Amino acid sequence: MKDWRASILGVFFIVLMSSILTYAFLGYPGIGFVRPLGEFYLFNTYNFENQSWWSASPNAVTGLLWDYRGYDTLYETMVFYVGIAAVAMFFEGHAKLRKTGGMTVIVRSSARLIFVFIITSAFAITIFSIKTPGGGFQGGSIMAIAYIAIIVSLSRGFLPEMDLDVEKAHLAKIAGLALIAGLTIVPVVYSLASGSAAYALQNLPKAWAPFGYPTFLGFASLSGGLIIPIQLGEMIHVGMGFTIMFLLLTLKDKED
Amino acid sequence: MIEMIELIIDLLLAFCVVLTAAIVYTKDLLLAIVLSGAEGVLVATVFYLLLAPDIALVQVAAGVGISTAFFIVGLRKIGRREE
Amino acid sequence: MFSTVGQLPYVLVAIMASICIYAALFKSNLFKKMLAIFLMTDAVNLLFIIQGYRLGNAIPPIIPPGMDPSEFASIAVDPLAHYFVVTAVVIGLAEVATLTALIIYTYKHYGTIETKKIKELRG
Repeated sequence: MKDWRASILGVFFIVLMSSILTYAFLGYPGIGFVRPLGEFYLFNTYNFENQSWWSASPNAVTGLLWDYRGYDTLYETMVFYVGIAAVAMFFEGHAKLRKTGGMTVIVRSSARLIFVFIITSAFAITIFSIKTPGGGFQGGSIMAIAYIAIIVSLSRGFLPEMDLDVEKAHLAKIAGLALIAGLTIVPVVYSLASGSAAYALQNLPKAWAPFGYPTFLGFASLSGGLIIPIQLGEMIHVGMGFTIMFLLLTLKDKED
Repeated sequence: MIEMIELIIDLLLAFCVVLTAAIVYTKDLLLAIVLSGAEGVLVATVFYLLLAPDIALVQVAAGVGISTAFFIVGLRKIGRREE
Repeated sequence: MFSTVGQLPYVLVAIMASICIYAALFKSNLFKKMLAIFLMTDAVNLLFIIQGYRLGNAIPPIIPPGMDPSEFASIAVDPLAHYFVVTAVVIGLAEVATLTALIIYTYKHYGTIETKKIKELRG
């Protein structure tokens, strides 16, 4: 009797809530209408005629991530960092990994081979994110999948064989963050040294702020200034962050 | 052709709704995790059909792979049945 | 004008989000609540992408070589919605990891993850 009444109430709640949400969602302009702000980004992201507003990136999403809305992404990175710190707080001090023996040579080498393939694809997705879909978050997730697949299919003790433990993962994560922070601060240092205007996280020269990272690399290939190195830093941060979280969550009961 | 793609998107979204209801209804938490992985794949397909390849990549990697691993690790410590 | 093609996705996403809100509010199991919150982020991401879609012969927001920027701006889908979702997926996953750690900690402390039983234990 009580279950019956509860389920009727639940269905009633879902119907009411979904009609409220439908009413709210249909208030937006319908499918087929792109806001003027979106059209601004699309028009300027790879516009040779208007180089004081461009991001030199044919992929508009990548240009948005680290050029137009770079501060947003910077703070998202900080939120992710706080998430890792929260997980690490629960399992602090129990993070030692012990080597396990007993794997045959065939298992070890094939695991390493597959691992190298996945890591290579992660780097490719990150580095070529200017012209093709991809980026630091995508590459970082795929990098974390490589480590998680090793942990799930073999064991946690296999990671020291691949020269990784929790402390080294923390160090690599901090190196990625330091890369991001350094590239953020370089324009400010330039501005203080030269006396001309430049902004933190400024990518390409503007009409009133002449600082700019190089747009074309030596081999005449396009790069969006700071976008590629900062994506690499983001990839290492995200991949190592997920790996650390997974390592800490898989701790056995007898270890803590 | 375009109407065909819209129809496929609507069907996939309807299937997502059914899967969400099944996840909420079932008492077996492992089944719920497997169904949420399937739901993530459907969502990634919808992202691809809506011309968002960047997000399809990140959804397949993060929303299907890593999240399922996290859920199963959590489930190993707390037991499989819901009361 | 109510077009099935244009507005049905909004209705389906709203139903999905409200099922998840129901589960997150009224289910007793903490793990089920976490699954519902995770699925709710999926529903909200779908809302963003549907909102940024453009009908007709649209292309992804990656400019093909040699295309004029003004023509590109008139046929590509909205990159701003894509930008929000790329970061939201990863942040949602960090949130899931934090919640998993909290649930494991709760289970170690109380021996159960049913909120009703935890209430009884606290008296």
